[in-house]
Amino acid sequence: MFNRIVTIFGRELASYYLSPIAYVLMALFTLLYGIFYSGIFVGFGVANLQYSYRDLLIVMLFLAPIMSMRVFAEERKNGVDELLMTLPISSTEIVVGKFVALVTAWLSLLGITLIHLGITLFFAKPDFGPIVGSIGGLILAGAAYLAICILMASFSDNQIIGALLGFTTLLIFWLLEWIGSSVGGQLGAVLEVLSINRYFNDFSKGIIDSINIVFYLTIIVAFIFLTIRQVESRRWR
Amino acid sequence: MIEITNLSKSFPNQKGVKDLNLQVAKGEIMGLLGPNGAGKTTSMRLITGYLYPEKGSVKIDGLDLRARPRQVRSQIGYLPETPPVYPEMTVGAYLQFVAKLKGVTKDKLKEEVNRVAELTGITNVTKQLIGSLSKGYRQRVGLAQALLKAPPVLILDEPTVGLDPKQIIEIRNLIKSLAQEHTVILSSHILPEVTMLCGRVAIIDHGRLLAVDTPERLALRYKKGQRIEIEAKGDREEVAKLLEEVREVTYELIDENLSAWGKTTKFALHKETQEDFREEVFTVFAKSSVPLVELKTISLSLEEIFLKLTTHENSSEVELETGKEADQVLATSQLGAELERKGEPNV
Repeated sequence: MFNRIVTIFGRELASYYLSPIAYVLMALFTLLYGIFYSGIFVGFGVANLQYSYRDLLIVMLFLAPIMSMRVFAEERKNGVDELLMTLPISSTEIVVGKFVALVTAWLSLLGITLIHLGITLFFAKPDFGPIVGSIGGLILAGAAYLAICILMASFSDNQIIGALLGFTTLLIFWLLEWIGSSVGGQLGAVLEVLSINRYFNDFSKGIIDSINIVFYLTIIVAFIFLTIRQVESRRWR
Repeated sequence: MIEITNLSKSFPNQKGVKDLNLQVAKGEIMGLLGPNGAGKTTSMRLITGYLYPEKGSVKIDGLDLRARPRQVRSQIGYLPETPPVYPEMTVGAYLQFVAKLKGVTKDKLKEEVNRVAELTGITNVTKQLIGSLSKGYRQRVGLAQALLKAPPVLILDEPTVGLDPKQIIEIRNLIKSLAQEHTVILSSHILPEVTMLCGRVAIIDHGRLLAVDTPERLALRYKKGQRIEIEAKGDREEVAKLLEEVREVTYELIDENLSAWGKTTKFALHKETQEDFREEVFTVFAKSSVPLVELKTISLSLEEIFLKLTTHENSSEVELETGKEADQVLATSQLGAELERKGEPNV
């Protein structure tokens, strides 16, 4: 099981870094984070990283659908899914391998921000709590975003449609807080509970609360499970 | 080795497969023959477990595909209609990837990849990107992938498509040699290929199995009477007069020739019988002063049988609805063919 996941993971990651998308996304990420970072650090002269980290959630709203749109569509286009689905491996192994590869790519993007952290540390003595909390929160929230987008990508054989489905779903999760408070009542409360970004707030303050971790892990497990079911259900088409 | 029972699958806008029953013995090469869109690819997808049937089962070596998916899939090497390759990978890396997923251990990985690369003749391109290869080479990479870990069952969907004539011969020879250790199901719409390679042929049309048998027996079964062609030294009247002496035979002039050796006449003879009537013809001519210079049997080719079985859509479709056995379907489509020949309305 583990060997097969590693094999799928390795190929997926290699293919991601062989595609131009990886480098376009990297450049875009660096540029955007640079803008957020310099806006606060240079503009306001505050050695406070949690605001620029928090802005990465906006970047991820766009990046996650683009990163995940190709994982199934490409294989369906060149016919490899017919091979994968008939090899002695399970849909779980395929989906988990692909998801871990996406998370790894996300970690490598986050790794870029270590440069900015280094610069900050060189010039100032920032509070470490919010930095560690933010990075931890970003890893979890990013993985949750990717889990949502991988499910949406699995619904379509078309990359663009897959990305749009992912983006729309993420946007709904974003707006749930706002929708919830305007709906009000019990329904509003439920919607607010599902709002994906409110669980990030504690992280960016440097508070590690298990409820926040549990929320993101639940989202990840639930959406990966649904993706596995969706991939498997294609045999019944 | 392979046991397919009542396999059925339908699609909303597309023809599926209906009640497919097929047994393939160990070491056999079974050919699936049918026009485009007949259900060959769907059948193969059902056998390999890429699709699951609505009804029926697939068993390999007694193991049910649905009950033991991983175990059964590890017994199958599959070459889909389009070679399932990643264009951004090199041939070697791709084959290693598939080999790992098939459970080839690390120490045997290189050896196994080299083995299949040699078999399919792609050793010279293992370092190339698959995307830069020609269609023929991609097809061979696809076949190499199917052969990894030497699975006992090979399912090959149109294995020679896109290859040049020389490669086609190579791949056919390869498949033939594989049959000693593997059980093969291959599909094709190239009739001579099927006759050449397959021990038995299954003719499929409209998702239905129409007939299964050896190519020779199929020919025997669907041939109506016997046809021979003769050439005799003599003019048309002389030869025709002699042919009148052969019982219950119908004949028709093909050609009259004036060669350096004298005048010869060619006739096609037909008799509604399963027995050999060549002797009778010979005796008639032997008694006369007209020498018979050539006599040959015209056998019904697989091509003719195929057309016979698959072109009478109206009559066979009526039967499909009632779900009778394949043989009865045949009987009806033959009846339809006969009626058509006699110029009566088709039922």
